[in-house]
Amino acid sequence: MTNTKSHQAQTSNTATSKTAKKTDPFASLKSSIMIVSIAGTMAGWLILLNQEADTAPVNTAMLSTVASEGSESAINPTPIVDINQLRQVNEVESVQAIRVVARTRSSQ
Amino acid sequence: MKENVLNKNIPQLATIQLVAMGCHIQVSLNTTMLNMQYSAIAIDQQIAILTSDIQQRLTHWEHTFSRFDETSELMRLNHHTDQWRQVSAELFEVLQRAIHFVSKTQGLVTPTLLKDLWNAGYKHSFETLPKVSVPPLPVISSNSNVDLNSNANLQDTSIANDSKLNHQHIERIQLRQLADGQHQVYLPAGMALDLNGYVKGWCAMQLAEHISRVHDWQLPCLVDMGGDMAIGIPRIQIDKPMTWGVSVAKPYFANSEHVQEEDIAILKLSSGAVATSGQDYRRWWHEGRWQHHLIHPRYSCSVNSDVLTATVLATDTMTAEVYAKYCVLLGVTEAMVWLNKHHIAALLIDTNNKVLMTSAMRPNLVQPNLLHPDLIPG
Repeated sequence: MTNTKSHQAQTSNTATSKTAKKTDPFASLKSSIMIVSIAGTMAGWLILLNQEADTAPVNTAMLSTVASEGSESAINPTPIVDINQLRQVNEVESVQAIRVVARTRSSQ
Repeated sequence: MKENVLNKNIPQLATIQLVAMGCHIQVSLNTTMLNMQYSAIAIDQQIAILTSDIQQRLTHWEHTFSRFDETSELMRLNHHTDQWRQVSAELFEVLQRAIHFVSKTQGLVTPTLLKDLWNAGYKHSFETLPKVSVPPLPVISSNSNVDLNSNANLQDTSIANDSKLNHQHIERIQLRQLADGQHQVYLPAGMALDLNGYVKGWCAMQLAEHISRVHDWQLPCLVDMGGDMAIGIPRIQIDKPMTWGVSVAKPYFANSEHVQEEDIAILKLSSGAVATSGQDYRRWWHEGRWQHHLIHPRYSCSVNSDVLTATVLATDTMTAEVYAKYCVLLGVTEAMVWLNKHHIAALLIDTNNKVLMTSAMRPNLVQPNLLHPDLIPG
């Protein structure tokens, strides 16, 4: 009999404990931190994007290679190859006719 | 002026032909791009203006460099030796380059041989010189050797130390440019300059550069100054550079009734220059023997070489012209050694009608086989 009472008391304690877990007192704090974190990340991206937009425009048609030679340095602009030109590589090149336009000989 | 029929793969050309500076001049213009943008009338008008411009330039240069005109700038300089004389930038530049080539050719090609040319009878323009001799004319055929002067042996064209080589005097010529940009030349007493061996090449380059880079239309072109040629390429190229065909003429024979129009090879050129020098054309009869315009500085007379003609490719026409002349002065054996050593593209025809070609020349041949059967491949 006594044991039975004791068992009932234990059951009552477990139920109380489960109720306590469901009501986390830090839940609102955690969600606030998460919201601040997300907002911060988004703000960071916006700042970055804004900075890129302010950068001076770069001509994407030209690449620059810097070659050092002794104390001098030279910048050699290299045009990007047009994709259409690359496509033509595998095509048969049209033969340009060679025209004989002049005759070389001793000075006349 | 001639124009060709439209064809997609054949470049459209317009040709300007002139006679000036004692030679036939032909300017070939690639008008393929123009034909797509302008009317035929507009192109003709522009080419007429260009022709007039070229004519004016040639007249100006002739009056600067002619050695047959006593009032030319060159002859005025020759008549005022042993003093500083103001000269034009053009004369200054050509003389400077001519002096540069003296050491490159071991003194054989030098601008200081005017008096030797006079002594050989070349004092007036070539057209007026006597071309008839009492002895039979030299005969060149596929079976016989060239013999310009039957009783003269080949000169020793080797370049040993020889105090008579005129290039030693070249050091006595002085050039200076003053702070105000004025160009001045000092010629030592007794010296007289002949720049004919340089001027045609220089003019060809000037015209090619003007037409292809300075003129409003910037046309690809080939300028032919009596056989010495320069190719003009515009700075901005839409297509790849045009390939020009240039034939190498069979040497001229004095006993022919007319100038032969036969070729021994066809070259393909996309840039640079080609020039031919030889003892086959500019020849005249003087003091009992045949003379020609290639003077050996050691002997102060026309060289008796076993090279009949030399054709040389180079990056610029003046270099090609000087090196071609150098080959004739050197003789076949030394010339071939020198050409191969410096990887110079060249084709020589010797006095036995044998054709010799350097390995650097072969990629420039349109047809690897020589065209003319009378000439023996070397």
